[in-house]
Amino acid sequence: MSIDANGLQSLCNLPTVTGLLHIDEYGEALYSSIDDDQLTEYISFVAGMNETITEQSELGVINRIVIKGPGEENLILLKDSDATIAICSEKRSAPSELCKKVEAILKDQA
Amino acid sequence: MSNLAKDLAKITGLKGAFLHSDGHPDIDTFSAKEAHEISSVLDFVEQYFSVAESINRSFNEMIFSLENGDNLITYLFDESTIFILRTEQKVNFPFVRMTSKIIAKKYLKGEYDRQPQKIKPSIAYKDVVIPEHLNQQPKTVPLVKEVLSIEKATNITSIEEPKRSGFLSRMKKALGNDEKAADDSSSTKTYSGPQT
Repeated sequence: MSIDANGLQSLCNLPTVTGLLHIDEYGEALYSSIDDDQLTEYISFVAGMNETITEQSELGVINRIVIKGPGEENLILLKDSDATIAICSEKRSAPSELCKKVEAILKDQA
Repeated sequence: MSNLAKDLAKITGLKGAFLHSDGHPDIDTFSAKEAHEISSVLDFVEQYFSVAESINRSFNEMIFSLENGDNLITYLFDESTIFILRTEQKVNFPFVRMTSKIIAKKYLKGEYDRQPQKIKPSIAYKDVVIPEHLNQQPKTVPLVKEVLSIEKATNITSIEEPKRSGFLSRMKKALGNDEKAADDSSSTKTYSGPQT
């Protein structure tokens, strides 16, 4: 997944998106619009754990993770071969619809 | 079909379910091979929710979209109750969430552990316990010792013949007619049918 600054800006401009984090395969933040450091760390932890699950279980590759909670914004982690894009979106948003839009933008970037 | 199977069958597109809570027996509908995978995933899922709690985040639902299109849905219902479901790609997520909540609630209440009570087809007489108050012998009623005296009638008013109801005179007349009828019975009578 090689997304450039324009692509990241397009993702940020999507309706209901409130934050975006682009991390590499080692959990390092390449781009972030999320102010909460603890949330950024948590996303990096989930992305790193995702790799471990894929290696240690026979579930196969996990393409996407959606995380929800009462009173929390939705977190969407999209996985590609070498990086992860995490998107924070408003609670009222539909993750599946937002994922389609994000994947369309990423496809254009490829 | 057990109550658990009935409740799980409501979730369209469900491929397997695993419900874990400390102090309760696990519910596992996965095959032996899949169950091994899920139990290993359980450790990771517990860590996801544990770390979220440590940073004061209330995340309690994670949906993993797998390579083959399946979803691995995990819910944290309380500190120690985790529900993992594997479903087809397109499922009604709010419905899955609410149904899972109901199942977890019943599971924690122990409703799935209870076996239906067997009813005996018949009751043997020896098993019947008669209540004490129904088993008492009837009490004998004491005889009445007091003898009531019969007083002699002192004022008897004789009723004169004209004031009587005429019962005796009617009886005499009737007897007289019967005697006559008895005398007439010797003669032969023929029935000539109803008179018009």
